[in-house]
Amino acid sequence: MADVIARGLDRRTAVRTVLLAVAAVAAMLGPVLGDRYTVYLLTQAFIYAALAVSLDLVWGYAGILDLGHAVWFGIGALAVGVMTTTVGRDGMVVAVHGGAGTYAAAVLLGMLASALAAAVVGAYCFSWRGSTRFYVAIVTLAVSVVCEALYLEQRWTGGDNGLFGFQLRLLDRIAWYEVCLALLGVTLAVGVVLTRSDFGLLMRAIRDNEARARHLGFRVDLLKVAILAGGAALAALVGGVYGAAVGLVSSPLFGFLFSTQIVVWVAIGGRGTLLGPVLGAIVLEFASSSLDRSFPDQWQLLVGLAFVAVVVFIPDGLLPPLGRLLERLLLGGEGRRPQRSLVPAAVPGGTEGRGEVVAALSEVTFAYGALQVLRGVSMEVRRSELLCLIGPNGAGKSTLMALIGDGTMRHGGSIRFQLDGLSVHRGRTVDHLARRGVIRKFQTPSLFESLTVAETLLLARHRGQLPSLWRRTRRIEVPGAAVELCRLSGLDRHLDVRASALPHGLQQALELAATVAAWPELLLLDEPTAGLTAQERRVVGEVLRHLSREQGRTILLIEHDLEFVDELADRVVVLQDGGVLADGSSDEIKRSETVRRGYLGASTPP
Amino acid sequence: MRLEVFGLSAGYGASLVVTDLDLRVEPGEAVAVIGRNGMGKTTFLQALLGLLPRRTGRVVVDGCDVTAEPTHRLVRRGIAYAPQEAGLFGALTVEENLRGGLLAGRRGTVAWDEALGPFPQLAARLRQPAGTLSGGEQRMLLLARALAMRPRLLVLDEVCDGLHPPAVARVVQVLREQRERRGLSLLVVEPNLKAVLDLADRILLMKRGRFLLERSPSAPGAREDLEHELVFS
Repeated sequence: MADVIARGLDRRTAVRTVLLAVAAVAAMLGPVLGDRYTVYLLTQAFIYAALAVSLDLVWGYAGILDLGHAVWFGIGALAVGVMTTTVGRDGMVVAVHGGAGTYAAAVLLGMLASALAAAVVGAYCFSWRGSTRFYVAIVTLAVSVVCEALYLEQRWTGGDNGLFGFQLRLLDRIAWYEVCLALLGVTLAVGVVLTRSDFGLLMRAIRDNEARARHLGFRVDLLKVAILAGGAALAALVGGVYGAAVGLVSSPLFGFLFSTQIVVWVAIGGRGTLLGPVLGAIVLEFASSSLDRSFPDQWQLLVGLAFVAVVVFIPDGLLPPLGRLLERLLLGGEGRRPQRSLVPAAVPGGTEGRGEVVAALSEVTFAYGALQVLRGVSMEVRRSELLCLIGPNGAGKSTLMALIGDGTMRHGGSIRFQLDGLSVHRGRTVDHLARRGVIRKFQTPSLFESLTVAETLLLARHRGQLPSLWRRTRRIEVPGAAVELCRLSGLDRHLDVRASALPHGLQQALELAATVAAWPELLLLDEPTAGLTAQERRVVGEVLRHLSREQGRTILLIEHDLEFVDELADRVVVLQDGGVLADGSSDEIKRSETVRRGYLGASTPP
Repeated sequence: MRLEVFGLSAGYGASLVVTDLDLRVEPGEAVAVIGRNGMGKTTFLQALLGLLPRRTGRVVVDGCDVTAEPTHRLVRRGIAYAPQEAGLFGALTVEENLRGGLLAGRRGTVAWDEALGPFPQLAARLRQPAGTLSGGEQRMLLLARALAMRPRLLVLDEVCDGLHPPAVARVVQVLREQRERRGLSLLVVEPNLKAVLDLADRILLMKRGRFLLERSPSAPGAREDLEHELVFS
């Protein structure tokens, strides 16, 4: 078995290496085989392909639809232009100067300026509460349109004419060809390392489900600003090389049309694949220049139609289906070897301070608009206890739990924590509370659909810490209890399966395992056993009890199965109509006349 | 309604999830399919209702072959489906959701009493948008919407998940009444045996896409057999 897997790996790697080598050799032979015009076209196509890669990182992987990506590229080219030319009174370039050093400095400055500009745009788009994912698309589009218009008004940019004639003459045509090919190689390599790294998982996680990423402690807004700025810096690097190679910068380089073109390359090639956008850019650039001569009027229309067709019929772009076909032809049905595995990790745990109050709620009120949900809830949650929250549907249980895990919801009364480094609740964001040890599992599964089971656990384990930008963790260290949950639920047989492909019950189990893997002090579990069989409920219950009794975790749990509650709970709080109806041991609750009348009594058939 | 299924297979991509399933539900009968997660219960329902393409198999309703009929036609024949995850119109009110269930189904008026009888707290919130209900109340509304069209066959995916015990008791009671009074048939899939013991006439255990075991809950030893298979499947 093992050697079959190993052979599969060898073959996969071999095929990949051969394909890459063929592509590289073919690319390097370009100047030998092609005429001057072909070489010129290819040089330009490599630059565009590198630019497409930078957008793919931002849009394809992190899900930030940047409709002004041309601006970042343009800033890179403009920086080189401005630092190597002198503009006369009439806005025409009168002198070109500067050696290789000036060009290098200009490229670096351009990258810096571009990253800064993108960070400002990103900070504006992402920090605004309630902004949807289309907000950034509209703002970047506006930036692109405005920059193009502004460009024309300025004298230092060359205005209408732009800046020109500043190509770096140290290198000849063929050398520039090689440089641009190398640039593409480097950009691709950066992209591959980044997207295969642990950080790459975080990028996809943010694309799939921002809310979940926040609930695992990640500073999503900040990360998105950083990703946009990073993509802009990469685009500016490409723009800088473009400037040095072609020696021309003008307003259309910033414009909406060019921005759209980059999006089209990425979309047609296949976003989130890196190689797809590269092929998209090269093929479309080539096709457009040759078809442009034969059908000057119809060509744009054809590209437009192709774009619509791809979006409608193959929304993933051309590469993914092509890749699957190649894989079948070259590899047969050979399976992938297992990608990642779980190993139990040592985690802090202990029952010191058992019984101390970790969260104290006093007269907490909350309303959704006119709908009053909580009407003065006072209760305490104590360290290392398993506290069950029960009550009729609509009593406010989930709302109360959401409120404990999010200090930014407007509420009355007060909530105080007594955890390591966490006492204030009001105003604290979900991700802040998660990093300090308060994590909530939602009522319905909320996962990262494109991440596998193992990858989800890996991110959960980071709990807001920045994952490595280059390392790819294969052996994932998670707390023993999370490994146990995976084994009991059968998740361990699906470690490399995407979360979206799991059946409902396993999604529930994964969400619970991820919450445990994050190893918070206080676990807020909203119906963690929904969709499980009675036997599975029992074993999950045992794991939870072990977590609280032996490992010092504090668990607040919503549950409807009263037998389950009876077996498990250290203490029970009954919520009704937004208030606490009863609070005590499960025996006390069962004996309580109020509870019997208010809640339990109705369950005995008449 | 009598439902008959012959040799049903379905799956995703190249792999089959359920294979060669036969099932028969008589008028007024309640059949439950139990099984652990990932065994194909939801896939079975979706293939049965035409929400997922069937690879093989025939579906017959009251002696009439409906294999080729799309989902909405099946619904018009009086099959109501309450899926696992909320399929509500969040921006519409509770009342509008209930009326919407009727638009898709057979003509007639909303069966207000049957829909809201088990759920008095929904009756008090008719004008509230469904999206602002709590998770458990949304499950109630899903059920109420299915009942509102007076179905002849009710198909439920994990029906009582997330409902508080009094509501569960009322649901079980209403379903029993409707089965006796007007021959409502019931097909339920559930991971939890306990949830269907009071409800079902027959319980089938599904394992890796096949029915492995069939028991009547009243038969001696049925519960033990089923539990044993659930645990060790």
